[in-house]
Amino acid sequence: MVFQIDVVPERIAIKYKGVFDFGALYKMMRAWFEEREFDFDEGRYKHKEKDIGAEIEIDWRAYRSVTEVFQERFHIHFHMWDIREVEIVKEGKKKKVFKGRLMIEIKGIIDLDYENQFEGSFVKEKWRNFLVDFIYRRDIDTIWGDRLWYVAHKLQQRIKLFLQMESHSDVYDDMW
Amino acid sequence: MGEYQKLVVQKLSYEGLFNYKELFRIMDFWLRDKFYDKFEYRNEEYNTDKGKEIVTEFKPWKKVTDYYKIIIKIEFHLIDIHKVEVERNGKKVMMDEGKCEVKLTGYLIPDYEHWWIKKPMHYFLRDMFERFVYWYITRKYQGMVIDHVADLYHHLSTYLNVTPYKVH
Repeated sequence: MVFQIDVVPERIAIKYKGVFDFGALYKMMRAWFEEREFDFDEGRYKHKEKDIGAEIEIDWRAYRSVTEVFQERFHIHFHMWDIREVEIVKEGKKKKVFKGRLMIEIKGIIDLDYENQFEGSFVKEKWRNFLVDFIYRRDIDTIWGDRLWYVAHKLQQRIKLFLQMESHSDVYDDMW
Repeated sequence: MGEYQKLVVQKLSYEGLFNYKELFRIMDFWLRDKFYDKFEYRNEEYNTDKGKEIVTEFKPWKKVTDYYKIIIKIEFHLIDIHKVEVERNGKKVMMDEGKCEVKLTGYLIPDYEHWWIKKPMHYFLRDMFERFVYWYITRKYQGMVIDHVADLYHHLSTYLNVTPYKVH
């Protein structure tokens, strides 16, 4: 079993109601992970048609190996309600976009021993616990955890900027 | 985890013209200046017929020592926000108009890494230590939480040009 530490213990959530270009948001976020060399998979895509509009749920998992024992992982959950396609005119061109409610949840996790090298014996597991509790404790807290924390927040700021939300701020953008 | 000691709550309400982005940046700068780590827990924006409704909740935190952690919970609730064009210093600028409610809550969390609650004996020792040995340090950080919340409150209220009037 992978030994995991939730760096962003309470998920970061963004909720938005209005008109948004989900296709472009999807591409932007995908490119954001690719730029940072994250491996990526889409675990779930659920689409449910309803009278008031479609309900869409998407789960993403992005992960990146940093050392032989340590991996950064993101869980992204999209949930959209009352989604209808509307046509807008942007820069003189007609475009189809979504209108409805959107929620994005971001969770950052550190996986230690993600290749299960310390599994299988009591001594190895105790040694792993010792590494986590004493040797890597400071690194997890101040380097790996802190970096993942701010990377998660950078993604959140990027989404807010894309959705043109009022509460976008770049004050912490130069952290890590 | 150690107990959340809720120490102070400050509320601010304003209705009129302001610039939300500027207000937000001022808050962020203040937090960074005081070495707080950022945590935007909730961020909601709804486009309604009357304007925008924005609900945000931040829980910036600062580990002051290995034992104490400070959290300031900042809640913004903006109602019916819409853009208006105003003239400032001879220039036309876009500003927000609407109602803004801010709530600041200061918490002190001792033993945030929960080293001293794993066994009843540890808990007892922690309690004795806090009560008779470390009480002045706890009081110092409690004062720091109250100071920081008051400072942030004054920072935001100065920007919004809100003057508190009191009847004695």
